[in-house]
Amino acid sequence: MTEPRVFFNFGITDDSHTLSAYRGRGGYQALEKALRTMQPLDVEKEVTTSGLRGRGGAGFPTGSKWSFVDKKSPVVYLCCNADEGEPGTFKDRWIFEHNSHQLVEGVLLAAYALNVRHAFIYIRGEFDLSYRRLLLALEEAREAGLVGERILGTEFSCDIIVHQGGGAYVCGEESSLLTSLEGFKGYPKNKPPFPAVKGLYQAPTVINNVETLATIPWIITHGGGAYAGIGAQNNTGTKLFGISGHVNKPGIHERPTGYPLKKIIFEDCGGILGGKALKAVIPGGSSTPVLKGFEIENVTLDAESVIKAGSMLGSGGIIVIAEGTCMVRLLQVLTRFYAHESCGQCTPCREGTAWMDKVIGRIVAGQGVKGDLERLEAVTSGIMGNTVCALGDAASMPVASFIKKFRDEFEYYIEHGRSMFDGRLEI
Amino acid sequence: MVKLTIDGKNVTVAAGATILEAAATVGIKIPTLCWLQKVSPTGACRVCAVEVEGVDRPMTACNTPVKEGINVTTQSEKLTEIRRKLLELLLVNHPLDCPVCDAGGECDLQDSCFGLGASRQEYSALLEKRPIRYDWKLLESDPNRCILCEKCVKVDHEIVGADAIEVVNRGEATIIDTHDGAPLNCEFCGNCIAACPTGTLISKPFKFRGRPWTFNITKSVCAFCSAGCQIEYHARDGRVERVTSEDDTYNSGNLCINGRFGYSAFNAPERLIIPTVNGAETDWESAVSTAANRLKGIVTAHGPDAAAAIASPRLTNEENFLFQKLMRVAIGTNNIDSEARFGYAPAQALLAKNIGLYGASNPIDRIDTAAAILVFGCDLNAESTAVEYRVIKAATKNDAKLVVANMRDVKLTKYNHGRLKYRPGSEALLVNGLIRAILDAGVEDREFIAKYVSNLDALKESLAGISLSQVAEATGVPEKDIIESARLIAGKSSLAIIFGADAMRSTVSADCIAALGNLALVTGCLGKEAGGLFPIDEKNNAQGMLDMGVAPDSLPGYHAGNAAAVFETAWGAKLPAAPGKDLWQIVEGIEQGSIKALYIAGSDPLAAFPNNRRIRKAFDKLEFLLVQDSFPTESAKMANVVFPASLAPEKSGTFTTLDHRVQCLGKAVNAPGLAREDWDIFAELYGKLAPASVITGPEQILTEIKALSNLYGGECSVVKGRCQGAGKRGFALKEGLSFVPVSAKSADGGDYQLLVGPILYHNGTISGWSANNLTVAPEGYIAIAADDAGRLGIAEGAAIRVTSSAGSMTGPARISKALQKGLLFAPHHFRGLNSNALLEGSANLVTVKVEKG
Repeated sequence: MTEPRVFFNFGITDDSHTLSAYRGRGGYQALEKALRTMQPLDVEKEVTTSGLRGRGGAGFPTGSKWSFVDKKSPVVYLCCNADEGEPGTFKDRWIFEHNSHQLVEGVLLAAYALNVRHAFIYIRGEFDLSYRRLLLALEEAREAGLVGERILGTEFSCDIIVHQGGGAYVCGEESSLLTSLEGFKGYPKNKPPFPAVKGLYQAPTVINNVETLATIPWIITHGGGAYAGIGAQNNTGTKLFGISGHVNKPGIHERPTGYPLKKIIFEDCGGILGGKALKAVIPGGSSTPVLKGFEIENVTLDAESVIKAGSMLGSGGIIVIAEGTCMVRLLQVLTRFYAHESCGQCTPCREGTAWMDKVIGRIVAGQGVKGDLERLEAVTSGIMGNTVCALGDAASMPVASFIKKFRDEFEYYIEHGRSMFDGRLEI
Repeated sequence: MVKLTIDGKNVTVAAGATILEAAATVGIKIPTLCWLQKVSPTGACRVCAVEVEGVDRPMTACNTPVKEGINVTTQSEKLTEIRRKLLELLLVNHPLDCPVCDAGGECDLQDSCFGLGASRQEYSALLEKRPIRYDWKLLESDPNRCILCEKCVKVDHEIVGADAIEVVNRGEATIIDTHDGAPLNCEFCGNCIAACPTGTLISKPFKFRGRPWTFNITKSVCAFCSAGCQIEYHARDGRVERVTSEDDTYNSGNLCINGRFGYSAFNAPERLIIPTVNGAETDWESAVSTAANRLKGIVTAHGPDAAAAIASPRLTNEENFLFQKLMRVAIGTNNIDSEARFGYAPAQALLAKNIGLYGASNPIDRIDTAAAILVFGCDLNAESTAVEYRVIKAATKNDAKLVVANMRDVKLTKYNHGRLKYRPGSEALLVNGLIRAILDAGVEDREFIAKYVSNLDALKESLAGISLSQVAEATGVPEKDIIESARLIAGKSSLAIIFGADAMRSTVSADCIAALGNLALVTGCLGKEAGGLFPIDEKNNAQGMLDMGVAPDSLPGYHAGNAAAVFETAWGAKLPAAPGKDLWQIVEGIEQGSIKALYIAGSDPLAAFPNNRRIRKAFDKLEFLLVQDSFPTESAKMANVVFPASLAPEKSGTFTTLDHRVQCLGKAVNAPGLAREDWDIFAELYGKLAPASVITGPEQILTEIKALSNLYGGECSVVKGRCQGAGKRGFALKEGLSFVPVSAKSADGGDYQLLVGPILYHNGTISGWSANNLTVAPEGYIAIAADDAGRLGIAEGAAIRVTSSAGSMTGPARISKALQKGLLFAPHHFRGLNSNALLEGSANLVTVKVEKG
């Protein structure tokens, strides 16, 4: 591989996650460099130059997010969103398990740039090894003087506080992450005010994804310009893609953005299981609209290309679906998830997700009635855009896109009371 | 200011206003369900969605702040569709049980569905039935009807501060419940019922009493504590069936358990409805004649000073005025006093003398905006919940610094920034310690002192003998806490000092009140837009009663004897020259035989007054006892003649709040049976004793009050059919005030001291006849600190016997974390426990012996 690597740049061994191993591959030199030779604003400039976009799903330019924060505010908080819960997404977990130090260094660099004294890592409660590896890394870093008072002997001090989530998907939404962190029930907040103005404990707050923050040491070491030179023009750099579903070799792959989707499925992941045809792809985590097999022909893995195809790059969790899969039952799995995870605060999502689940449930049970599809479409249009947070949208998009693209399967199911694809998929 | 356009209209509003507020200023009404002005916006129902030009998704008007130049559309086909869909979604899980739902006819969901044409359950499928909470007291919750607007939770958390209910579970399973699922255990104020837009949270006593539109609604004033909340009585068939308060009232629609549920006392089966003479039922003619003849006989034989009267803070101004006039003119004695003698009256007299202040120095809504608040010796939760809501609002929403000085932990301590938990009896010393700390820190209000007070040096000199370490030693409050609290309250733009029974009925009350007056001057808390000095009395018309001259030494309007001529001219009678006797002197007079006839109206000295075993013995010596009351009180049981009287919803007249708002009562129902309004009874008796007089009604009496007392001038201002009070007699700050010399005695108690006072669930003794209040707090108890209980081997609920020099009582023990070692507390509302009997005099604290019962 000649492509530059931000993450997959070392061999995994029993102790490759430790501080000494990380330092051995040049770890914490970016921090040294920043603290000794750069002003906080320089760090922000490099990140802006790099064109790095948030890796959590929304793809907001990181430099610009940072620029909204009033760094002169007496308190600024940084929260690392490590509540990775989107079905089909498992990239942050790889970072925690194999290179927590890279994240810690990234957090410290961001904290330096943003004048943050206390940074928080809100980690998904179900992550066990990740959590232990992170704590180990922090302990090592603290002992080495890399976290805490007067880091590396400089004036810069920063503590990192780790908080384990309680198992709610919605807490991965940034404002509910903050309410949860504050000790309340994890309800999303209405925006405005945005967290950059009034976030955690009413202070300006930046919330960044794990992968985003873990990229920053590379940017500081190699320069924002170097990073901007990688990958697609408006969506620079490399990205971790988690491929799951009906492929021969599922897993995490680091690829420059703009990489062909077809290539990652058919070459890097060894093609579809059992040599079946590709039926559909959900390109960016379960909430992004589904693409039919033929629609991905020219799609490359960058925001613009995927949007052009009618979906979103999202978190980079690619779910591959082979021919022969029943899309009705697949949709039921997804809607059940969102109905279960709806926090219950706002009307459209609370009532809407539950009813979508019930209607799809009744179709799957063979009790669908004529008009159910129109009813589902009406509910999705009532939810989308009308909720406090994006969970309502996330729940509606799959429903809308599945029905739109596989309407015949749904109609067949309702009419015959059974699936077009009975039985288990042979794989 | 921000300029924007809403539906084509130009709007200018202050920055930070929401689109909803901006729209309201130009008369555009945006539909809402979960929005409630008095709490923080929730933004959950999404019904207030509006379109903002350039923003791709609809924004919620209730919580989106305005921005310069935005163009907002509140009505469009798209928005109507969104709103209609939302309502259909709400309806899918909502049982259509409107015919048997208490909220039917006053349900926001009903109204919204009707308004937006959501007329069917579009997504109809199986309803999931959730269990109804029948096991709560006074309230019932049917989660099936809930639309999760969270108004109840917000009112509970933000206004009441009880944190009793929560949003539990998530997604579709979300319901409002107690956080642990146990039966509701809260303040039972019912403000959540009022906030509920549907029939989810309902009042049990009101359930199935009738459709809301079938009641006669009368706007009136709450007859329990001295804050004077504005209420509505809902009455039918001669019964008050519920009490509500609208959100646009002075009290923002917030009530307490007494205000909302205490009405069941009015309907109590024990109500007196027929006059009696020597225990035998009779008609009014013979009862009044008997009373008049007995009184005349005693006055003729022993002179007018052989008669005395005890009036009541429960009576209206007009009634109290007429009562004292009856005693002074028709009988010819100044022997009239009331329970205010135990604390409120002497405290007011002291502050009047030192500062020229009667009652509160500012309206109570100025507490909301005070920069700092000191709550001294007052359990506001029990003494005036309405004022407590204001303190909570100030401390949580307006960033006021709150210092709570109390010998017990009270509800407000969870909000306090400074805490002074002092030893009982050290109140005066503590206040002087605070003053000393303020002066030491140099944070006194110099500008105020320079303008209004003459003798700062004298104060400093007299404080020189008091060191903070001494104060800390004697009060048990660490020195650093005193210094910290002094910094919290002084040097601020405004300060509210609120004090209550533990100050006014302290064993060192005179010193304590004088010191509080000094503190008010040192901190300059008087005469400002916000804050002020606020004495709190537990009962509704204590202030009005004193204003009306119910005191042996003052005529209406606090005129002393030298103004007698004006009254004599007006009344066409000679006023008694001899000074009257105050309450304790009346008791002594009875004991000594000089007072032979006693007329009590609206009071029950044998249950509600301290040292009442002594009073009971004294009453045995009376030749004639006349009791006018609504209930068969202990005193009524001893009376020769009993006049059945009416209660607040059955009369007209005015009540005066602690902050001088004179508010008109609305008569909602007629008195039961033969019971009559108190003024009417006084008037008839007056006619029998002094035939020249004709009294036609409360309006006529109020006119006379205004003419003679120099109080209550001006007409009532009426807004939306509700009396907002007559012209107030504001407190006018005068120059040339002086600090009072410091006296810092500290009373020493024995090993155990008993504090007797009110609790939240009752008010006075009247709520003791209210089935609703009794559901929550049925009987008295004796609270004891855990340490003491452990040492004495007393378990929770076990009988405990407490004895003082005045009497003893036995009751169930309640082990309390709120009490300091050596302190016990017993509520004074319960006739069965009669904790008042242990008190030796006016003080609410007494040294006791404690043992297993």
